[in-house]
Amino acid sequence: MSAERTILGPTLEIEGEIEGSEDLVIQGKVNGRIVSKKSLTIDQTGDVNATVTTEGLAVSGKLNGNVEASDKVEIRREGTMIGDIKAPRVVIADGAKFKGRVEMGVD
Amino acid sequence: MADFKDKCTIIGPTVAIRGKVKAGEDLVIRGRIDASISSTKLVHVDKDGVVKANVEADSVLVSGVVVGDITATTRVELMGTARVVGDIASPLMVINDGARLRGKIDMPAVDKAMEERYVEQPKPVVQPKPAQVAAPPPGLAAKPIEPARKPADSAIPKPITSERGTEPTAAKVTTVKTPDTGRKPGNVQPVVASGMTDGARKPLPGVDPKAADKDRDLDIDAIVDSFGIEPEVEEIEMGGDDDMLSIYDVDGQNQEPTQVGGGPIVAKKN
Repeated sequence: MSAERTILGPTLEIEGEIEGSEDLVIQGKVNGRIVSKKSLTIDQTGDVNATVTTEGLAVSGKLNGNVEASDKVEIRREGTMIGDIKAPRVVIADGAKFKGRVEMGVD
Repeated sequence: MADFKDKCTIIGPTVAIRGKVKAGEDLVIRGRIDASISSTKLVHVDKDGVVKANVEADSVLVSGVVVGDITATTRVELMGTARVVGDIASPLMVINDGARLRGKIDMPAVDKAMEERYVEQPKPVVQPKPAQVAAPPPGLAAKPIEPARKPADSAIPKPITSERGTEPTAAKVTTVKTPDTGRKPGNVQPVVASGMTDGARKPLPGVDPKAADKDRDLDIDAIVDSFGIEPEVEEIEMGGDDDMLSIYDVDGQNQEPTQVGGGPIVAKKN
């Protein structure tokens, strides 16, 4: 069932480091560092204060921190992000709030 | 499993967390957590799950590996596949055949039961006025315990009142205060004092005072610990019974909960 996917529910508060090789959905609060080899989704109730390294990132909640993605970063309409993005593909949807630098060059 | 999807957070097998985890919902761990876990609900360490830290929760179900102390307010169950190294404190405890555990198990309920017995025993020691130290103990015991009853009597209270004239009420108040303060802090002496009051009525001879003191100390430590845990539990359970969402708000989410909780607190301080 949800073997390839971990959902961190809305009442979950994590302080520290998260590492995963599966899709991660964050609905709660995370402070620290997130490293994912797959996609990371920050849901509307999600509140993340962390440095993120991932393949793909979708933000519908709040993200405060720098992001380095190997594929794509998407800030959705409800999303708020403060921090720098480094990714080959970046999507910022209409209505999304973003403050930071974007770097799409291939390094 | 359907329930898991709705109300549970499942930490998958490839996920590792280091640090601190707080949860207001059921937590299923199939990955590795090197993080202290505190939850107001169930924490289930699944077969593949590895937790290397202390776990505090309402109830804890272990099928995997836990290295660290487990504290539950309701229940701990070790399944047959469980491997646990650490101390466990829980009012209710189940260990299934095959589980491996290395550590202490502490059931507060047992402590309470023991405490009640020992509270009765000390009474006899104090009351009977044995041959050892007859004069000092009765005097000490009389102050905290008997003042409420004795003021009406003739012997001790009269001289004091006569000297100060209008202070009989004050004397009563002070006597009343000592027992109260003794109970609240939960220190060693207060507990003993309360025990002595009860003990005055039920004498139990043949108890070694030294042994009784040791037992009391142990019990008190355990009791203090259990008291420290219980108030939180009661509050949480209240909220849980009323409304699931209220728990989530208080414990988990920042926005609404902080506002709701923060308002009243500030008001009280002011």
